[in-house]
Amino acid sequence: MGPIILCETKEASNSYTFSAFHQEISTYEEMCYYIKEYFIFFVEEGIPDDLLRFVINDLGIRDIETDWKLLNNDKDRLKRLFSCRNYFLPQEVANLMKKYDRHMTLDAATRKSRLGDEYLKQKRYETALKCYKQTNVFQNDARVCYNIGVCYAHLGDLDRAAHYFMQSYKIGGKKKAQYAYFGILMLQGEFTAVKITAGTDYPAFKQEWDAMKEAFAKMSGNDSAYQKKNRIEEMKEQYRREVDEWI
Amino acid sequence: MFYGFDFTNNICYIATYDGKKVEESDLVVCPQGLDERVAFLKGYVANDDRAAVAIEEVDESIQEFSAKLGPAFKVLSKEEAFGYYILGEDNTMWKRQNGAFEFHKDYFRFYEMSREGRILAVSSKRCDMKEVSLTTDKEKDKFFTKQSADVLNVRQINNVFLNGEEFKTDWMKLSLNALCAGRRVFAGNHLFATGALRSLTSNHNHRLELMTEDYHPFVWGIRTYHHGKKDVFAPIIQSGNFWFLTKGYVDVFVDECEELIIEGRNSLNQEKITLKLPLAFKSANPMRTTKLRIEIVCTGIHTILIRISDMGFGKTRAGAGKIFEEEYKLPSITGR
Repeated sequence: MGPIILCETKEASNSYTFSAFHQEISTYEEMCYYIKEYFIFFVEEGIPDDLLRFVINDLGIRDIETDWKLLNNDKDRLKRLFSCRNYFLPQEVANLMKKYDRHMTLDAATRKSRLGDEYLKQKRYETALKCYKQTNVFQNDARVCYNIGVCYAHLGDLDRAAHYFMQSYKIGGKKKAQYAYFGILMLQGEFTAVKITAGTDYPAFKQEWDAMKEAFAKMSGNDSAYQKKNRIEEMKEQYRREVDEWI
Repeated sequence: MFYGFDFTNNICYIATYDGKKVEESDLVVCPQGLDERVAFLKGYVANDDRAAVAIEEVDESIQEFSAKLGPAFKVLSKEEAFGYYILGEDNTMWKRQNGAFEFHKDYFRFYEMSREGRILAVSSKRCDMKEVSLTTDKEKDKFFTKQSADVLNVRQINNVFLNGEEFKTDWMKLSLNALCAGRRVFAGNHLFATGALRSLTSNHNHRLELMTEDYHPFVWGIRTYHHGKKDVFAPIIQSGNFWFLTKGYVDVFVDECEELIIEGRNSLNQEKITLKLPLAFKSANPMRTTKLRIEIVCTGIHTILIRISDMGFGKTRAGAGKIFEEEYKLPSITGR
């Protein structure tokens, strides 16, 4: 049997929304769960003041207020927040603190790129892009270049997206970056350019591209114009998800 | 002036205490309805007086009855009144096993008191008189002989009290012989009225606590993680409240379980009961994102209902509602 955790706090009448990942919460346990899930946000950016006010005023955890002023670093504050009521087991809090320490041993650029990854997962492309650009090492990192390409693709800047996918491919030599580059070209109508550039890789890429088109046709076959429009939007979304999965 | 009232159907026995001695009044006929009883009692008791009222059955209406009577009145069950009567006696009484028969027209009930350490537990059993015809003295004698044999032959009872106007006549022939064998027998009509009165006036120092079946005797809870400590007992309901007012819940997070264990401890004799709920739970949602509410409600003197509900996860996910419910039978406080 797994551990049984006693729930101490009541649900707040007012909810709180994590602006970083657009999640609404109303309980202490939800807060702990999402801080753990999106840990990098909180390690990099600390506990927002409005979240602390929500904990004190809406969740009624007033004992944390005095302690908070005495704690002068974010790690101790996170630990206090995790331990002030029941949710995590002591071992789980210790593991999270180790994760905090591991993250803090990374250099500033890597930490920024990790934060960018988190924003990218949340589809906050502009903020993610800002984080990647702050790293100053993005020009030499295939993964970061690829992610920047994904951000630009989602923001509709296909030329820049193609540029960064190609750069990623040049640095890392990974097929997914190359296919992403070809995909952008296909969306821009550069079919011949793709065929020439892809060379022997073209059949493999074409197979994937056709499969995607076929799936799109199948989905939108007998639909009304309105449904087709929706399907196209869904298809675009699916493509974006697939691109994201290549990260 | 202190008053003790004992209501049974449409009759009432009254005991009074003026600070010097207890006096017992004759039987008074009074109406049965709640409002009528309130009017009767308020008409009887003056502003500066205090009164205790023993009623037949304790249920949800006791709160309304108490509220209508006001703070000068104390409402208690007949079991409690019997308990207070015994507590007001010397140790030759309360150190032994006591029983009482209450016999009015179409009303027969047996009360039993047993002591467990510092707890005096009183329980009662009422006889269903619907199919009993008692027209002749012989029938009454036969009926009472059987009823007394049923309870006294299987229990060691040292003192027996006979209470009620039906005992007044001289029909007790067979039954009295059996009743008096090896035990003391007391007869009268003001056992409960005097007991109720003693609940106001008695200042015994036995350090004994009285417990009746109207009060739920168990503390129920579950072992959980709490403030970083393992196996901390989290109470769900506490003992000592009227059973019909006893309910409670805890919210917990359970990652997964084969069965859920609810622990109960009888506050009278410290007896422990473990209820294993066959709840094979493994949430389809991410781990620790399903809040379960474990709710216990007393549905009777000897029954509790355990209900487990999926409460969801705050704003993230709404609850799926009830996932388990079962009623459990509990032993009597006197162990029978």
